[in-house]
Amino acid sequence: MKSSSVLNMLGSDYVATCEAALRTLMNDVPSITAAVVATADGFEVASVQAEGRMSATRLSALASSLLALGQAALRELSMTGSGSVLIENAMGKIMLVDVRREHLPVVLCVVADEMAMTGKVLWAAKQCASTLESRSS
Amino acid sequence: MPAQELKLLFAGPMGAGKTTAIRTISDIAPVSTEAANIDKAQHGKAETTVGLDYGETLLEGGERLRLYGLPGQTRFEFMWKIVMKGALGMILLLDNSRDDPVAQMEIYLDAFEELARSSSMVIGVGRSAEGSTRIHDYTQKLQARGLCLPVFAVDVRKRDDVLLLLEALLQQIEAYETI
Repeated sequence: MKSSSVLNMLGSDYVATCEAALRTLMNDVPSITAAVVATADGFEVASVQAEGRMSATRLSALASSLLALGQAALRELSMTGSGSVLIENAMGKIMLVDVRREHLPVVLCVVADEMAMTGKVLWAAKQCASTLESRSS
Repeated sequence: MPAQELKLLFAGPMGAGKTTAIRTISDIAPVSTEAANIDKAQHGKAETTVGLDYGETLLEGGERLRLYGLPGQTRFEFMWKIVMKGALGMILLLDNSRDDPVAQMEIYLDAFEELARSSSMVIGVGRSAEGSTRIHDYTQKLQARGLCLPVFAVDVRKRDDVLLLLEALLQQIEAYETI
């Protein structure tokens, strides 16, 4: 469930923009099975999934923590700039991408199945992140 | 190599001062994972910890304390479970100016029951002059739950106050181990 703070802070237009961007992402890359946009502090903004198994609320909180830990590691090594995190095993991949919006940063989380090619998912996720970054509403 | 390394946790609700407490006493530049806070209804602060905080401090006896701060919101409970592994004790920070801080304390007593039961926990109450809850109310609730944990009124921006919590925690842990 989306928190009312999300709508207040980001606006319903931006939530609709996120939903549209996620649907495009899933249409473009069939191996992507779910995608979530979350606020940097772990609230769900928008989500789409092929099968209704995932809790977008829980994935949103996990995504913000994991990306923040990844960014802390980058900072520790003085590797400045935006970052992403890839987690994978034999069953699939989870990719987290930092979306640096001026107003309020968000996190893109993409889940792909075992057939997915890392490069293709990463490229599609970055394209989607770039759309989310450029849109203010 | 330090004589001993101990892992300790800082937990408590959002805005209770966990990140500040670690910054106050860490000997190294702390690791932090703060993100813009949109949940202004919960707390008005600009940023909130979403992963963990990490700092270190060396005690006079040569022990190195590894200090881990947990995110306060219950939606990050999965981080609590990850970070609590191997922790020897916990400092639970509460904010007396919030609504029903005693009920907030109970959330953490339940989530970290093992540390509470083994007396490996101390409680620091911030902004104790604000709000209507008294220190006695916290201790009374602890007693009702069969727990004997020290409760201190503290200002975590003060190094001595955070050190007091750490010393009390280490004494608690040591006393329990010698029983």
